[in-house]
Amino acid sequence: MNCRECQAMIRAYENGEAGHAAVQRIAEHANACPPCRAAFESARKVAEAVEDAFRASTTPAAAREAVLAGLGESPTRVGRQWFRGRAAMSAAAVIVIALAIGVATAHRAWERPLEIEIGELHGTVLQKHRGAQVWEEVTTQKKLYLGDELQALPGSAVVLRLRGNSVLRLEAAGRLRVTEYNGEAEFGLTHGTLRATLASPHPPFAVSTPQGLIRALGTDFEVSVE
Amino acid sequence: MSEEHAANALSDAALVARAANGERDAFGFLVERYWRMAVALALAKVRDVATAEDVAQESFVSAHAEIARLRRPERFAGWLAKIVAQRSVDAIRKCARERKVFAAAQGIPPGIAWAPSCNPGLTSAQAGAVREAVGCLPEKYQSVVIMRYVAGLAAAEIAERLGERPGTVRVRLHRAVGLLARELSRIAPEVTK
Repeated sequence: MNCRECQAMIRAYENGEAGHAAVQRIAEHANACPPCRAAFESARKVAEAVEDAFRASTTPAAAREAVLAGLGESPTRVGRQWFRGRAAMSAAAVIVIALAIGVATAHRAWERPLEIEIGELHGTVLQKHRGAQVWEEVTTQKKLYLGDELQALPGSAVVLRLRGNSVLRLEAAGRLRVTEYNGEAEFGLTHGTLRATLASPHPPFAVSTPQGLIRALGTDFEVSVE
Repeated sequence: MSEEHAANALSDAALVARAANGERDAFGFLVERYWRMAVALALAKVRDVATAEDVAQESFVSAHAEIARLRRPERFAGWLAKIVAQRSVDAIRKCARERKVFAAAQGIPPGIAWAPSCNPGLTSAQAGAVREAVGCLPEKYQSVVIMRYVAGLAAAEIAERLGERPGTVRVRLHRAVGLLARELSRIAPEVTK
């Protein structure tokens, strides 16, 4: 294969039209050809970076359940004669109202409280629900939901009790978000320190930080983000 | 072949026809098929995963309500992309309004935008840089890049869903990849090294 053919195959790779054998051939040529290697590596890394950067935190299966739970009874029909006469108008209005109520009361995955209790509280800790802009002060009666964010103000701390007697402590000036990745509970720490004392054995547990994902192998550990 | 596998093998057009006929499960398969694409399209605009997922969910609900009006069911994904784009703009406007109210009422700085690193390959900062680079692409490039690399569609499949010629999509993809490679080597060189 010459460089011209290789460049054409790299274009096919970009377009999702190169099979495994074609990718092998590109790799073989690129090993001995720095310009083609650079072009192939660039295309490959852009593809991987976009795929990684745009991952959703909710899995497609969970999203499906949440979306279906929030749908109206049936989609709008076209071509029906509902708009003829006053009685038909009333029927349409009832359906529109029912759909609106259905949407408003949509049961989303992130509207179910998590099995996480707010334990001890020291000072002032704020909580923000998914999509909201307003922070509320945390009390021990508050419930945590998927996507919630917690912020311990300076001099404050909060203890979270997870199912199975695992305990997390978000220290002063810490900021934590509860999320989910591939069905596993995940905690995102963006500032401060999180101390974890996990039950043994414990289900998969991970803390994501701006530096990457940390999976718990033992039971006691501490994660800090400067 | 299980019922789920059989439904997954159905074309978008077949699933749209069933969903328009009131089969909720058929619409559920469309949600699974295009959830990541919808979130990614929203994320390129709103830059926050939680908001992007809200936008995606609302877009699917809107799509379901209007699905019987879709004249070219094979273009469901392209149609959904337009709904997501409009919903994203609405979310940005709403967010801007709420941020003003929040800042006035609380006086608490919202801090830096939180971008969860829900992927093992990139740090939050790198993921943010990639989203920024994709978000800065022209709209027609954004959708093909996301359909290609997030939804995993080939150029010809994207063309069918957008109602474009395959050659047009291939050219857009090639230009978009070139622009992204240049921009990423400038703002996050470690991603492309």
